[in-house]
Amino acid sequence: MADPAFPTRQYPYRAPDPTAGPDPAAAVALTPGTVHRFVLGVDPVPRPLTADELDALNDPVATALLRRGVFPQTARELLAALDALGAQGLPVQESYVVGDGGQIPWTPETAGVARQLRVVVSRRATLGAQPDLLMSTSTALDAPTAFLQVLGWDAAAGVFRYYERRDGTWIVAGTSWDALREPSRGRGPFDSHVNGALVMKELKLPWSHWHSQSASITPAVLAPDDPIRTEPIWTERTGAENFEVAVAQPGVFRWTRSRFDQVIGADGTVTALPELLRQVLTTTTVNLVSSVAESTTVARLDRLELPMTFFLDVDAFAGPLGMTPPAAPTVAGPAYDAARTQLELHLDDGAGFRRPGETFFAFLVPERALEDQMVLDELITREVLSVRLATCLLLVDLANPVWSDRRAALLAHVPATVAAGNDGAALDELLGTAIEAAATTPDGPEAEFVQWWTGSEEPGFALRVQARLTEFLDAWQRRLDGPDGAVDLLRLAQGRRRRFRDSQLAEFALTVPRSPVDDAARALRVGPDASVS
Amino acid sequence: MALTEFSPPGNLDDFSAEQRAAWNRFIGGAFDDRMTDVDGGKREQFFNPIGVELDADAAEKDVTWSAFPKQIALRFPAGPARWRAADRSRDVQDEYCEWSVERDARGVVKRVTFTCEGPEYWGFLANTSPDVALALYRQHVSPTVTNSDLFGPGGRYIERNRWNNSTTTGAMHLIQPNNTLLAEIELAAAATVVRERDGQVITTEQELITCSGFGEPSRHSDPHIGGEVNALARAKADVTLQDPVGLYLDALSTAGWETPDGADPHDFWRVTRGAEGTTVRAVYEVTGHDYAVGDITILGQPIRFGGQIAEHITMRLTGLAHHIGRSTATPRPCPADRGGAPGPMDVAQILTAPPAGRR
Repeated sequence: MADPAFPTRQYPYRAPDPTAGPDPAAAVALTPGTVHRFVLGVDPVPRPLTADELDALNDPVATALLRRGVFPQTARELLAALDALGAQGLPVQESYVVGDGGQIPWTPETAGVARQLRVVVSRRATLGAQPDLLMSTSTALDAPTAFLQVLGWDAAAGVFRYYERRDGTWIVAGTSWDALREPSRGRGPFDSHVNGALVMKELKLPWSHWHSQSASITPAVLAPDDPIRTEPIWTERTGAENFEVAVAQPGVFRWTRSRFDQVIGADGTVTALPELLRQVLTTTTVNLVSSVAESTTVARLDRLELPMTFFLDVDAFAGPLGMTPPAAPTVAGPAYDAARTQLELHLDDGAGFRRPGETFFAFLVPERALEDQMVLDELITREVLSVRLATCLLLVDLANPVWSDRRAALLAHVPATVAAGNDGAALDELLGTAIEAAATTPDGPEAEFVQWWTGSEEPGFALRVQARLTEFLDAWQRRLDGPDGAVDLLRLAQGRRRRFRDSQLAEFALTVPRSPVDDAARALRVGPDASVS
Repeated sequence: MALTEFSPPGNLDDFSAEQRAAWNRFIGGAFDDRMTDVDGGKREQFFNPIGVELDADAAEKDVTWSAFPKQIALRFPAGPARWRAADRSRDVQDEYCEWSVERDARGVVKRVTFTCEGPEYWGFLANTSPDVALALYRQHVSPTVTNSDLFGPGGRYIERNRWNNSTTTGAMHLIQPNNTLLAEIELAAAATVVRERDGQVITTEQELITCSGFGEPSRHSDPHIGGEVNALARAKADVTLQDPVGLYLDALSTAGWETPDGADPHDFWRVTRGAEGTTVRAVYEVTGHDYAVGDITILGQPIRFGGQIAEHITMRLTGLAHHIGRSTATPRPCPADRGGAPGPMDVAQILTAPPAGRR
């Protein structure tokens, strides 16, 4: 059964729609002490692993625990089992705390707020090593029914493997590869681990919702009798700034590189190319980024500095594409404050708690995800995709860095395979030609691509791109300084938050603020002149 | 047992007995001078630990933060532009950690030196023991450092000398104007005042630093240090800084780093002043292998900048609390004149003044 405090944190073996039928996992009795496999979409019901299948698992969850017949039932038992193994148990441990209501102090009046505090524990072999095992759980360390999900890195297979303790035993829910392909894509653990890698939604400074150097999650949010107060995983919790650089980034990179190693053959042929380009041309998942200003301070700020990636995919343009990062737009603090009042922004936990305003840090919005960014990096590094071609692709509808239907339409022209090398020349030829041939509609995305592609080999191309980026952000700045600029900004932000909430990545009600305009704003797009309509 | 003397940062042993005593007076004086808030009120929950018998509930509190400057991280997206900006000048390295990068003839990074030693310490040491200072420069920065490189007319030590004024010619101690020990002490002291606005106790880091004015709001460090210290104060504890008072290099994370031969990349992090737990200087340099730092990759990117490493370093100071739950101090409003940390001080002059002048 699901942890009542975390109704969405058990893999959705059963759709929330009660007409969807019985929970297939519940249809069979799981045998205690037996590892089962249940890859949602692939397996109709959980089934015991064969001995050979179990022997083939080489991640630390399998090798340190399950293959030894150790089946911990709680988070505490799991950590104790690892501790008992000494060096084999990945002895270097860090714990992290995240909670979407982690800045709402506990009072008798707020006792019932669904703060969704959870704990992530990483285990690694040495100080210099990567974490090979990650545990995600609630603060109920001794509850055998609290959600308890673990992933382990299998170096032999080059994948993360996802596990869940369920009904007294352990289930293998799939590997990173299952995330990428039907019929398991987007199901089970891959509703949030969309591309098979680690997830840290609020990845960047100021790491909204996480305990961090920007905002501590203090004991003030705990009930006076909450037993977690004295637990080492709470008292010794590490800041999210460390999780970003020591866990999330290397974890995403690890899988990305392994994946490329496996899809590029010895002869340089890249298979499953659309799966890779999907992460360049579409928004497979998002991170959430915000300003670094506490929401309560905004009205007193002369200018609120806004995250650049809301406006432009600057991580790509100023990253592997080599452009100079323009200055990020800002908005007058009082105007922003008035706009959020006008749009009635509020937090609502869905359980009776409602408060006007925003999340702890102002302007928390979706941005292009790190895992998509790393695929772009790797495509260029491996000479599958040239910087020139990548630039022209991402210039299409650059005004909408996430959820661009126009850019996504270009995916239809991507060939199934291509030869890597020679700075991506083969894909330049194949994809460039294919899109040019399809550019029959003057205002279509293909034609927009061709406008940039034609002449992209000329020496002044980079300067033209740079000028376009600057021109676009200047237009945004003028709009923000205009009479409706702050309202337009927040309407657009609400629309993107609404889209985020449509995704399975959105697990908790307090993650982003809400507004009565959300549904209407969902379809808002930014024009080339930074207009919002 | 009560503390009887402030030790030098990192328990460094550069000082003579007389210098240790002077340093003790300097730090003690700095604590005493900060017992009064900018609004004239007493900072009731801050104390000078000398001679104080700590209660049984005494507890240390480590506060950690990222070494990479926040302002650079905000203005530049991840990648070379960000690292280049952080490597451009010591004046942007404002998280109490500064670094200098040495490259070989090919431009490949050979060694990156990180320091968090305060200018006060070095001003005092160099002006009172110039030979010791020169020897340390020669040991840690370059054997070619000369006396005239470090000392100006009248023999005064030049903090921003040619071996300590850039990101390429060496880094002996902190020089960024806000990176001082006195700033740390003022920050800790001022943050012990619980603040209120409109009858509500202020608990968040930015609100606190804006209200109290105890540091630079745009850094990782100051708001966070202030917030953590203030949390102790809100728990009605009396608070001070743990001896030896200093700012320390806490840890280097090398997850996602790869060496050409599979060696553990963490092995190339070497503490060169201070000790584990009180590290004030460290070097990242490959020894015993036929490659250089620039051949090591972080997330697939070769190390080309010191900032790449700094992104993986955490800094630390340690607070000390006791009498937890027993303070009777009441919250105070935000002062009209926030003042902030005291301005630049002639440290050598202060240190060599008679003790009576400081206590």
